[in-house]
Amino acid sequence: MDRFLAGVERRAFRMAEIATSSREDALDIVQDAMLKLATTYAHKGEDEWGPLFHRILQSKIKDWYRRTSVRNRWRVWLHGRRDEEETQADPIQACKDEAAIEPPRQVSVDDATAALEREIQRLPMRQRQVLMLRLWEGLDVAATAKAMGCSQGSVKSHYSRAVHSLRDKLGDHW
Amino acid sequence: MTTDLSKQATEDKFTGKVRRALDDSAADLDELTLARLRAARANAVAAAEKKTSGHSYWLPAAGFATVLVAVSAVLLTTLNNGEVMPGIDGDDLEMLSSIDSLDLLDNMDFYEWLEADAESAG
Repeated sequence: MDRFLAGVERRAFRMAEIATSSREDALDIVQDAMLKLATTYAHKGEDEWGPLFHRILQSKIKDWYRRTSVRNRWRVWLHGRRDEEETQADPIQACKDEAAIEPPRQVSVDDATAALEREIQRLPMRQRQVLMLRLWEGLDVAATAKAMGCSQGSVKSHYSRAVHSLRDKLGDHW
Repeated sequence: MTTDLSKQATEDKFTGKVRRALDDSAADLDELTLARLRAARANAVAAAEKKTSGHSYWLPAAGFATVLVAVSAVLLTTLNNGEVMPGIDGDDLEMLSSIDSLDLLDNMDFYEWLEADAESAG
């Protein structure tokens, strides 16, 4: 298990970081996914760990989006109330912008990679997931469909759209 | 035909570049992040070992109780309906007595796919 996790942890972290734009949230997501796999599926065959881990990871990322969406709705609501009541500084306002790329990360990557990450972040979630799992993790269509909980046809169409969208956007850089 | 091959080659070249860029970004993680990933991994492995050893004391009793309840429920249902009870094989018993059976049931379609995939791969 330790060897398997060591082999996937860097890519898993980068997938989560690109999805959330947050190093801390990405570390939390990967930690949760590792814990879930190790405590629930360690008794399964090693060949099953890969698809299972990515299914868990994608599920955790999806949960993060749901929580962020709810939090943002509350933030907008609270912000609106504050404007109405003309109150003083709201601590919610100090909340970190989840969509922003953290400055240290932004300056440490080169321009081409930064452009790539930016465009991947702009892809719809399903296209981003399929791109990561098919193109980067190397899962086949069937395994990707299972990891994402969708049909193989959806995987093919999402993948095609993702690649073409990236090529259109990155044409000048690549 | 030639156009299709050319388009495919162009796409392969592009996806290869994307993969390399992502690989580079994963290889270039800072020490603090790597240390935290190592800690998360160690924590996960330790939790799995702890869970395994912790279960060993009461898992057989819990498993037996689960099987007993399940078999009783099936027997009562079939006797009331006058149906013939199907045989319960070893796999069913193992699943019923497993502490992760609920999780397994949630992901049953996934395991069916894994099995089918393994069979098709030979």
